[in-house]
Amino acid sequence: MKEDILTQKKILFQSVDMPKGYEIDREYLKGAVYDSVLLKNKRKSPDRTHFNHLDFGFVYTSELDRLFAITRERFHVKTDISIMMMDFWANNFYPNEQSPITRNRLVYPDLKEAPDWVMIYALEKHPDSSNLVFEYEDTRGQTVMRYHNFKTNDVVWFPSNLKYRFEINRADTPSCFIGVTYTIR
Amino acid sequence: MAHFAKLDTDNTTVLSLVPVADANAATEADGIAYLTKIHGYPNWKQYSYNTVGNTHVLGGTPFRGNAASIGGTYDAENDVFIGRKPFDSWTLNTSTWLWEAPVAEPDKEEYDSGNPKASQGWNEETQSWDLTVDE
Repeated sequence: MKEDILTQKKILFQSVDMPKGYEIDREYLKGAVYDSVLLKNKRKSPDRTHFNHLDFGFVYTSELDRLFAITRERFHVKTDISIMMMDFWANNFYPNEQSPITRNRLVYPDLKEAPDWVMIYALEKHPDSSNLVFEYEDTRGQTVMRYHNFKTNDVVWFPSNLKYRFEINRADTPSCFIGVTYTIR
Repeated sequence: MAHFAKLDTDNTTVLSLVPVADANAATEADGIAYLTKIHGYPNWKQYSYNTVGNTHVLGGTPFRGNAASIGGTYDAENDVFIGRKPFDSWTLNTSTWLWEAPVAEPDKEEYDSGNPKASQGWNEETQSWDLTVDE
């Protein structure tokens, strides 16, 4: 039997392992994120009903650049897709907090400006806590939820039309993630 | 201009390709030190832009088998770059370090009577070369 793939919803994931002595300095990145979250409250949107309300802008550093470079290059090798960054942000979830709505990254009023792929990096995540939940329709149009359990220093890639949310943070300390959107070149 | 390949943590997979000015890469070690400082990443290997099939296209000395390519690999044991395997049935020629089809590619001129719109590609299913002519 032959196949002709029309579309695929796939999740790619990997640990961001780096050569010894050149690991990603997560404490440094956490400092930049908490500066935005705790001290400056740099929310992407002041609108409480907008999903961007949960997203915090933070400073672009060389450490972040190293993280984005290695993850983007590995994505390219795996998929043969060349991508360009559009936006990045941080999500911070306190104990018992979760992302309240199912979200995706498409900008429906202007699809030309919409991203193609989303990457989530777990800067600080506790096992079985703040996992990603993806929602999609199966071949009968029924909504299916897929839980993706990942760990600190992992990245997860998925198409931007895939709805997702973060599960509740069951740990005693905050969970912190970096998100990035990409467009195909 | 010197050319360097960024290798993944496994020191095998080529992630990206970067040119470096000769002034910053008098030797390969100098180039690696420069790139490590700039990129905060240590795994680099120099390659020759003009080496293909273990031959230097400008008549010089071939270097590391082939020019590096993204998604290809660096074979440390033989100190050569190898491109991605295009099809499962192809095998590696350890003289040229190029992948070869089980059936030799027909001479294009003979095969398509010199038609410039014709191209030939490997058909993995039939294990043969297919001729395609653009209308």
